[in-house]
Amino acid sequence: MSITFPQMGCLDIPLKSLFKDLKIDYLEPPPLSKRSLNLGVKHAPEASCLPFKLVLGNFIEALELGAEGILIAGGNGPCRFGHFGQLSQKILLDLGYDFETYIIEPSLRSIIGIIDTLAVDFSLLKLLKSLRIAWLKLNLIEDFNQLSLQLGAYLSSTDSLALKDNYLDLISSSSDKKELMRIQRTFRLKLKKLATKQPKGSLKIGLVGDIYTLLEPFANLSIAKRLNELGVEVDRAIYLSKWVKANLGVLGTINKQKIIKAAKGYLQAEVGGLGLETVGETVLYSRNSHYDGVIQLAPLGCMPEIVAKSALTQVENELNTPVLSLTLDEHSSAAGLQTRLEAFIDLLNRKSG
Amino acid sequence: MSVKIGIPKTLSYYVYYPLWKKFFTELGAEVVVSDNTSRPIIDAGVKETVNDACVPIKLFHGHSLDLKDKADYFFIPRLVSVDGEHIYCPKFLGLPDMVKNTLKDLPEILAPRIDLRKGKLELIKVVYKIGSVLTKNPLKIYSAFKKAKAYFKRFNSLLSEGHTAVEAIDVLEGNEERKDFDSQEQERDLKIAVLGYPYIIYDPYVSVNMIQKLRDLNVEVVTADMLTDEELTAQSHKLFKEPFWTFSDQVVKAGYHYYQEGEIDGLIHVTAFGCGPDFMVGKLLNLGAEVEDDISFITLTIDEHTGEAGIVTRLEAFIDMLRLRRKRA
Ligand code: SF4
Repeated sequence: MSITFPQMGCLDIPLKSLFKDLKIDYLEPPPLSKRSLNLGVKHAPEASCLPFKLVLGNFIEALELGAEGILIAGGNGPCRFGHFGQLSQKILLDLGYDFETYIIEPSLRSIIGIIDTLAVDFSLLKLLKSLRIAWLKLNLIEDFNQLSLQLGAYLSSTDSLALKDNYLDLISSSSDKKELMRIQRTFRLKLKKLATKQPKGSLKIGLVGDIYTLLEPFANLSIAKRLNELGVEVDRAIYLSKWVKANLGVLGTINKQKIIKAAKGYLQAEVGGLGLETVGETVLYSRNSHYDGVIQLAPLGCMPEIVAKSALTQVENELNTPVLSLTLDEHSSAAGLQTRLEAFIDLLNRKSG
Repeated sequence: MSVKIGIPKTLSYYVYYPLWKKFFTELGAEVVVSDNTSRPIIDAGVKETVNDACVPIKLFHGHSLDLKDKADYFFIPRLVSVDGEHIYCPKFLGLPDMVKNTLKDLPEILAPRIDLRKGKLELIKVVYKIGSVLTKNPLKIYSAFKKAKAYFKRFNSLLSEGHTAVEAIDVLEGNEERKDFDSQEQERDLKIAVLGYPYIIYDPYVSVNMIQKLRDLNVEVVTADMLTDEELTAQSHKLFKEPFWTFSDQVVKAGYHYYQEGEIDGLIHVTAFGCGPDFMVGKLLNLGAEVEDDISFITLTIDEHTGEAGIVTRLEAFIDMLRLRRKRA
């Protein structure tokens, strides 16, 4: 049985690595496109958020191509993401598709259980080994992303894109730890060498918000690239690897504590999704004199981000760093976004100049 | 003079008001509430709240403004989990912060975090924490809470008989007679389930007094509150994964229950514009209705602009349609 998963940023690379190593038969869904979005908009409830529409549309595309199972992460809420799997299942069954549903809940039992059913020959040892490599790949990809967002203001986007594609290909095809590390080192150097352009205004902006929207360029209309092209250095507060560490790992909890503490005067509880992180990271950026502004990305109707947004106005007033809240849905246009970004950058330039 | 504790008349008011009211008055405080929902209250809330928020949250801001000069404290518990399993929607979780960040010059906000996922002991701790604002005597607090719980039980049994939350509060406070729903049942020719969150279906202004209107149209109305926990749990197997939001889980399972054995003619899902969890609740109820030939489903969405007229027209058309169908059958 070939299973499929929804596209989300570069997550497909570590996932495919895991599937290959464990001999799990999979069908890669097409990259997100206007078509995925249209399918999602057509079949999802109108009130769903953009990420759900994209996930559903992408599932439909994969099922059309012959996928026989869908796989998605779950969660205990209260963000709606935790129910994407269940709702997709009901809608897709109603549309007449025949498939199995696998929802990975955040427990070791759930993960092992699902992989055990899917993998041809399963052993814990193998799982551990494959997980390690997949995890390493995720980290290497996101590390490179981080560097390119930072240097993006100083290099041509065609050059860096070509380099990145090349890098992703190499990371995908290797599964040797040493080699992977070597690839990373070489490519970091290559990227740095490319960064020769003179900085224009050298503004620095922090990106916060909903994790799906931050990770998936199709959903955020390639906002980071746009900012880079406008000569802005970008720092994304949220990476999947960082988030996993913060919520599962020991080391990450220190980071998490920092965020909780920073958010304290504005939001005193987890509200699901990335709500608390959005507030905490915005405070941290605002206190850091290297940053000129913060942009919050949220799908329209995203509950945790709405709660966060109510706090951001207060943060902005008190800490005096401009915050731009952008809400995205299926009607958002690249031109509209571009105009708002340019206006925001003008404002920051006037403020710092 | 006794301490005045303010409770805005929406959201958890419709679920827990009797419990807190009794508890605080037993401890010597006076409980004050905001006015009934009205156009000015809605407008004030809409004006202040982040614009993407759902209607009930905007309403809560409006009620808070109405109440702000009438109380010494605001009581806005941070409801996380009351059954140790389900949780509330993100906006409930962040409610005290949202209000504090958005509205100026509010009285001090008491916002105890109620998260019983941590175990039964947590309840005792929270109750003490809340009570200690008024007295440091644990025995007094304990006995006040015991009385409040008994009072709250009566409230819930009134709901299960078919009273709305407003009617139940009126009965408890002696302003209204207890209704006898059984005796009226025979005369009613239609049976309809009205499902939605308590602060939507029970708020007479927000719901355009839907439940009473249906009764006036000679319809028997059933709600989620009229079902027992056992009846709801019996529906769990129909879900791949049970909704983790407290009210949503109740609404979905109540819908499934009534589809299965409620002998209803129709189901009305009342939702608020901008409600997050309802993206799924509405779809599940709708898909559930598709397999039932003799049950009609309708969604009525409350937003900040629609006047009463539009919703009432749709409601009446729905009832006419059900009666017509019945005649043909
Ligand atoms: S459950 Fe829906 S209506 Fe209620 S507060 Fe949450 S989002 Fe708003």
